Amino acid sequence: MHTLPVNPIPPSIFEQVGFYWYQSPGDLDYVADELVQVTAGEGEAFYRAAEELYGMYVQAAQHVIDQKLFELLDIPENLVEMIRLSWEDDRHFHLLGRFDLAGGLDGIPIKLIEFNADTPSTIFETALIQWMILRHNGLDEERQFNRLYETVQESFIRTRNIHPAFAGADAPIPCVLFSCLDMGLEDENTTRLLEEMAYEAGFITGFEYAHDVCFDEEGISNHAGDRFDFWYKLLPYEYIAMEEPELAELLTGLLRRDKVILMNPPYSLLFQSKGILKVLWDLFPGHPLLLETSFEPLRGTSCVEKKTFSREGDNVRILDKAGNELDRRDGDYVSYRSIFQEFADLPTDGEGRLYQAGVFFSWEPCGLGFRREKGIIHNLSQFAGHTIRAGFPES
Amino acid sequence: MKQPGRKSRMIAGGVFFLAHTLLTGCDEAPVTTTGGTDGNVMQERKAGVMTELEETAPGDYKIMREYPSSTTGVVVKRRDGTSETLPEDKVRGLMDGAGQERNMLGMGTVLSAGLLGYMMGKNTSPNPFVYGNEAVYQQSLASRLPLEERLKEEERRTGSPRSSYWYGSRYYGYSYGNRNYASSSPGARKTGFFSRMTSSFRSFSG
Repeated sequence: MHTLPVNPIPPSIFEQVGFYWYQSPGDLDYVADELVQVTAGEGEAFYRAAEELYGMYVQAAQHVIDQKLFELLDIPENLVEMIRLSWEDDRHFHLLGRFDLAGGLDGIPIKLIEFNADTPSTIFETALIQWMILRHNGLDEERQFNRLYETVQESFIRTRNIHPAFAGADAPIPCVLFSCLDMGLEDENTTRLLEEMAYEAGFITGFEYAHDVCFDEEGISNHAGDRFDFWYKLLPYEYIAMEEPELAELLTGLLRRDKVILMNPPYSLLFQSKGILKVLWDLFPGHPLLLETSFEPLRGTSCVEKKTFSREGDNVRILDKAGNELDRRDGDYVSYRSIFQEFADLPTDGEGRLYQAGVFFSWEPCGLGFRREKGIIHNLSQFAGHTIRAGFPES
Repeated sequence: MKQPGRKSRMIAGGVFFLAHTLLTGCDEAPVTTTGGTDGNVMQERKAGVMTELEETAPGDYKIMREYPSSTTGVVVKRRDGTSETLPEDKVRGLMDGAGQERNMLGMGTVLSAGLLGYMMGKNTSPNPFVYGNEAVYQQSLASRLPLEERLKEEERRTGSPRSSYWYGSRYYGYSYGNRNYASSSPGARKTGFFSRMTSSFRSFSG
């Protein structure tokens, strides 16, 4: 495990670009003052893994739809029609997601941990902050696996081009509304950064907190009544299904009548559910990128218990071969189905911190970043940027 | 395989330009971010243009890249391999001083003849001569139309002309951050979903 100490970026500069969550509660720095050094070969292997896994997820999702395995994945019933509608229509483009991967450094094999396909975090950190660290330290900007910002811009353009109503020279300019809950600057500025990408890709954009967005028979509008063709919401679908079932019904109707396109699309929930990890293992048993996964505790091997829709390391238990609990984090996701995933080794630094890779995928693999923690990685774990190690040129 | 990082990373987006300027610029004029210190800097935005200039001969520049952004700025790449970022204020000064430049393709002259100059009312159409190549010029022409149409559409949607003219600029300074919306009848709209959710909820992303 190679890391490179770097000079931290002053908080005032973080704040001026809108990155306000640089400190965790307890005054701990959220952004590590070290960069992970990867070789070009390791970085390319992360990208190849993401590319291959995405193809496997698409096959697994098709299998879930064909075999009607929604309940197995804990997919709320009131989202099933929406998922089907979006899956069958190419205009519903999956904008971006983030694969969490174990291994990949120090010769440890890459293994899929999960795919944050609906509302991925660390977009701001991966796209902007780790690049700022390179600049701030006089390091070569090209030595980083990071085209996240440009690639998502290209995906917005792609979204426009595949929609018959907006493709072509005389077509109207598409309007996209961006929303999240009014509960903190991390979600808000992540959403606004995506808005910026869409704006620079030529969309008319707007921002409205979720509680101010208006819904009627004809579509989605902001509080002033301006209509939008697309709605990007940093709101997990399963929350909509459970907390606001009326909204789920309204959105289904809008999709049925072709009044709006949602981003990420409803079918991204199939990828998001950790239940699909079991489906993947069934379809591709023993695949080198996969960890054995079951809905029952694995026998004779240490494993990790997670919930289908748990987030940020909550409701995770680590069990040894005999089923004894080695570590746990509690949370609010107890009501969901458990999955048991074979334990995977994570690269470890000299201080005992474990590193988990995050690889963004937006039509193609486009950004690499790391989280690190002495134990189960959770929402306050440090973000660590990376650079391509000197002496290991791109192959 | 594709280049993993950016070739010309600094102006991948307006926010990169801003970050670049903040990290480089102790010798530069302080960058003014809109919105003041009391608000979220990402809330307030306006229509602008990002421009990348390259020094083609001593003191001569050409436009190598240009695109509409919510940040206005210029990145200059010099012949000696160094680069400089020019914040908005400095760009204005350069364009105003274009007439006094000794070089035919002085920085102010070139900027005045490009998309940024067009948006600021310095020309009626970008001049192909100031572009590094035909493709960049065509791209500029292609960006101009949607940019204008988008601003017109925004005006139409908000019900009134919103552009604040500056030195005869067309749309420069147009604010779409905290605009006032025209009132419209609510009809049978439903709203207020998730208003029960409070800040006790943690981040939704994962």
